Amino acid sequence: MKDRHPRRRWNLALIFLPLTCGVRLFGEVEALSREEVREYFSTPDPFDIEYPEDVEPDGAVVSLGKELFFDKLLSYNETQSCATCHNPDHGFSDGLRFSLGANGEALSRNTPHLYNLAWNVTYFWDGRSESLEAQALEPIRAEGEMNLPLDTLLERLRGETRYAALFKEAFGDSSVTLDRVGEAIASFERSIVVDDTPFDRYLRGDENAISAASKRGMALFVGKAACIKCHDGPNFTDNSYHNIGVTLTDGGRGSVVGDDTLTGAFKVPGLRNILYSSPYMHDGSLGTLEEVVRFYNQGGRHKEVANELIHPLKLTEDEIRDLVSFLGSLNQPYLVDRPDHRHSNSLVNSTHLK
Amino acid sequence: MKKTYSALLFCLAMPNLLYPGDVTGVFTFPERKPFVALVYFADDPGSGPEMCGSLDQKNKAFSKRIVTAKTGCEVTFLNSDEMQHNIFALSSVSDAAFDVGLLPPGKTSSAIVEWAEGEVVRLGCKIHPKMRSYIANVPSRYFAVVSFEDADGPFSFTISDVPDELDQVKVWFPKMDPIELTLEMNRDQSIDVTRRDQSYGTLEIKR
Repeated sequence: MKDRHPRRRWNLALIFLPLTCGVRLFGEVEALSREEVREYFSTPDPFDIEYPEDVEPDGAVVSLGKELFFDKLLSYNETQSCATCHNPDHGFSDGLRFSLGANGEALSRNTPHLYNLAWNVTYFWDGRSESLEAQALEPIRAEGEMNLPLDTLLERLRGETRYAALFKEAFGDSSVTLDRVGEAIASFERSIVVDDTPFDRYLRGDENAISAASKRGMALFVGKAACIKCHDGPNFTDNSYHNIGVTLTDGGRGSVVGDDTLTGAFKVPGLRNILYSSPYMHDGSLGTLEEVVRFYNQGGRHKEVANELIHPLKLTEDEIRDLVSFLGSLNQPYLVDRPDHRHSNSLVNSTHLK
Repeated sequence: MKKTYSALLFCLAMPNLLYPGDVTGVFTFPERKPFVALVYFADDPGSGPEMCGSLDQKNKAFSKRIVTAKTGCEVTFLNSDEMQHNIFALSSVSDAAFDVGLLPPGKTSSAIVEWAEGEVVRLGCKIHPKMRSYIANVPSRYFAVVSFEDADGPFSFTISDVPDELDQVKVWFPKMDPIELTLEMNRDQSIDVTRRDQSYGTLEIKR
């Protein structure tokens, strides 16, 4: 149909275009005030770490833990270390949906990142370990993972002269015990701290540390998207367990605590450096943060099992991008100098494999 | 005469800072503080709180850091939060293995205090493992709960109208060594707050 009033249409366009741009430029999402930002967000405080026995570990214990963390001696066939799946170059995960165990078989859950575990309270996706020290030994002995019986682990470490020196430096004598191995690895893991992201610099007052999109995303995170209901606190997790409708086949937290109401519930992961540890969710089924936001926007995948916190969010495309931008402001490259084990470990030593 | 009246008025107007029978104290912690402290007189003869304690949940936290109750009490749990909670006894104390279960927003539930007198049971939430509170089976009318929240202190408390014959005061904290102390009249007493014999702070107490 021919436009009978082309000039009027142009006039209308000229009126609405700036309005539309204005909404976007200045935000249909109202930015949080400084007071609101301070109310909702903070940088993790080392004082809040609850160390076992309330004692911060000695540097030598952390160094020993780092040696152990990167040592392939800790897997039965000496092909894997903790860092194989918790690879610092992949956000302390490995980029795979399911990591492969020492025997080449895929595990059943995605490998979680290790950032800021110092403030965590329960470990594994289902929280079955209540201390990082206990957790650290579990993948070593798990048949599907590193597959190394713990008595064999002790034999191996006791047979390495370099560990005698490291244990002595860390603990005062060279005795190698499981408690000390767990303590050392946990102490190293607690040292993996992300607390100086662009977002943290914004919290300290640098208005230009994060983009306008990230600021809008921050407001959505608190408001319309309600992410903060679970991803709150300095590490963007309340360490809680929820069934968010990812899968129907994994008992999760419910199997651990023997409570059907928590079937399919998994731990809320912290979001610091989350950009680096894709894929996401306990089953690694979402490849990008954008997919994650879209997952929540549609109210989960299996709505029939998702809990009351999960419902369609009605986010616009711009809002989805703003949220992803905010998540991108929570990142701080974290580099680790790997110990050099080339000359200290015997490679697939037959005595180790007996 | 005028001076006498003035002195009398002055005395009446001045707040009585230390009533007879009051026990006052202050905790000081230079660095790490405990989560909570319960200060109580354990030898209160046969009496206890008339009402059993209740505990609410809001903003993913329990409303009190510790509640006192006595054997047979039914402690009530409310959920004023906008999300579900799932309370259970996280404790090695025998006879304290209760599990309240799922508590949707707006609902209430309860648990009976059936464990030994003097024992304190930790509560947790299966959904939110950072939540914690305690129920103390302490049947005493004379107690104070000191929550070491936010501020740097000092953290003071008053237990009012304590009968003179009660002089054995006890202090319980999570993770810290318990304190037992014989109070003396009109004397400042100071005692270290320790954990495994290492000093973390000080309690100064007076009656």
